[in-house]
Amino acid sequence: MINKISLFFDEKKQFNESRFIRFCIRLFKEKPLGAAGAVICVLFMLTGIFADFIAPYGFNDINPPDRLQPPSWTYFFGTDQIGRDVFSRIVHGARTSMIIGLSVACISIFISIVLGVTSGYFGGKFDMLLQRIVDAWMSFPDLVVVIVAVSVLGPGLWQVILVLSLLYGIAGSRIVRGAVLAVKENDYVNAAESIGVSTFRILIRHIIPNILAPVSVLFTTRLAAVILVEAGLSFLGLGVPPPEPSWGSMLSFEGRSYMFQAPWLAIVPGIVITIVVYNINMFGDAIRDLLDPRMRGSGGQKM
Amino acid sequence: MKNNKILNVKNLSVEYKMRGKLFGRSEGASLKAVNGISFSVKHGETLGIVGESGCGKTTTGLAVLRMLDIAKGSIEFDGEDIANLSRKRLRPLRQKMQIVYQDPFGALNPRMLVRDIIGEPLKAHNVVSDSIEYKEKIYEMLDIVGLSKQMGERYPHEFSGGQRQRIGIARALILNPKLVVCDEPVSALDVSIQAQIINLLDELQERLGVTYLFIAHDLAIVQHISHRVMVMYLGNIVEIAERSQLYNNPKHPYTKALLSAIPVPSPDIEANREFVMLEGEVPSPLDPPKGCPFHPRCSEARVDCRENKPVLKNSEGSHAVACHLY
Repeated sequence: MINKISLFFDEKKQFNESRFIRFCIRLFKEKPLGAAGAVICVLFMLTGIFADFIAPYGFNDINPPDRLQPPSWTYFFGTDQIGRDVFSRIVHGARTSMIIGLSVACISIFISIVLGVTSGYFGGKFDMLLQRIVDAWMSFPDLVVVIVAVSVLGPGLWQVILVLSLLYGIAGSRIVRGAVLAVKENDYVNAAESIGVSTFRILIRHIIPNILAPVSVLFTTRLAAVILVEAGLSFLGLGVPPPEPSWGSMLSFEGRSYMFQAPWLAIVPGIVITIVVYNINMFGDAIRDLLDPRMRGSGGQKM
Repeated sequence: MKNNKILNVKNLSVEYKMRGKLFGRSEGASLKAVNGISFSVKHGETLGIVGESGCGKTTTGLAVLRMLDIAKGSIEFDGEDIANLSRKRLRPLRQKMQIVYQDPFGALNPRMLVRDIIGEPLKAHNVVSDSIEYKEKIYEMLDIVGLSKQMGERYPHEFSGGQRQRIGIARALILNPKLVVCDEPVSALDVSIQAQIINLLDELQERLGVTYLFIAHDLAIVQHISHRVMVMYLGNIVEIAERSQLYNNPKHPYTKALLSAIPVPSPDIEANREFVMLEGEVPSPLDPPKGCPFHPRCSEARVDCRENKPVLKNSEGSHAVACHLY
């Protein structure tokens, strides 16, 4: 996103790297909380990617004699009812959550931007028609759509991603459209038209950069929400099928059933979800502020 | 005779459709923002357009640039009738016509560097071949409007209102346009800055030979910068004349009233001069009065004024007025 904004000059390529580094420095200096969020997000992703190396046991290594063990040095977060290591399952679950969260957030934001920007900018009959279709789509309960889609396509990671992307993408297009309607009334959009800038360039250069604030918030809230929704879907048996671990299914299925005998089964995934979602939100807010030139630190810019 | 006119507007009307009941078709009334006006502008001159809020001066400016769809009439710009051209056909012509906006805060994209804002017309029309030429043009333009090179590396929010207006002017002039519509370019600025911007515009006209359509409600500023002045009321031209004739010998009662509202910086003259006070409000353009649009407020209105709409007399000459008194 940083590059998208600054790609107007031809020497952009050689500046890309230093721009990125400068951006990181500003992140740490001006937004320590956001920087912490970024670190946690990166850790979360690394955990997902290198799950096989980090986890001491496999996610489905059953060891019945050690079932429902409280946290100890052998089992950091204890074990579940059939003796699987909760820590290993959390680590592997990070992969599922990361894949679903990131891909749904990215695809749905893309859909939202395409629909929202065209609908808001062109307006008129096109907008009217598109928005009625969006209305119709949004009037279906989300859960019904998911259940229908999963029963047609079968349960699985990619089906969930597809359905959630469509659901969130179409719903989010409303928010993007609203932002576009506000931005397009600005004189600089009229000015660009009067200069003779092509419509595509107006959208790319004038409209989209100026709706990045709501879009980045939308992105991070989506990312966080998807992790939670995936938990709900797994609980209903519509998400990632077992034994593949996901934080949601750990929290709602095993966690709920053994809440009193083994509270760590619910507490650990709960805390992990909270930490990740909170930090994603912090990171998102920081990015939104830093990308806005008007919010640059009070220290004054170099000449 | 024809060739020295950059802009020749004939019988121009602009209407805004009011929203009707549900789908806004035939039921909606239309608001005539500009009602069949004709005027022309010569190469290198400045035509000032004055009038109250809602008199159609900004609409006229935007219509001339075809930023609006026009209802009737013809607009001959640089020898070509642009009244009915499509957006696509207009795009190449936009190199030759530009606009400076009133609000220096809203007219610049806050996410773009100033150099990119000024250089945008160059990119839009692909007139520069490489980035060196592009940069040189921008630096040259920054220099012309009195900003330094380094200022190009900043964002608009780091500038004051006057500086931003300079940026807007630089953007408008970088392609060397033939016509620039200045839509109240100084009314959002401090008085001291107003003079700077007006002088800059004046200077640039001498240097580049650009033609201005200068829209304002401040008569003193229009007097300073214009060669000719056009007075509008309720979508109509009431008087159009050479500057000195209009200011020294206003004919239309409305023009007289406007001019008498300019304060004179001398208490003696101020105490003794004659004021023409206007009564009442501007009628709604949705329901304009019959006859002369000004007659409900005019102290010299006669029977004739209520019935027949006066036409602009002597419109090719140096002093035209739309009034039954003349």
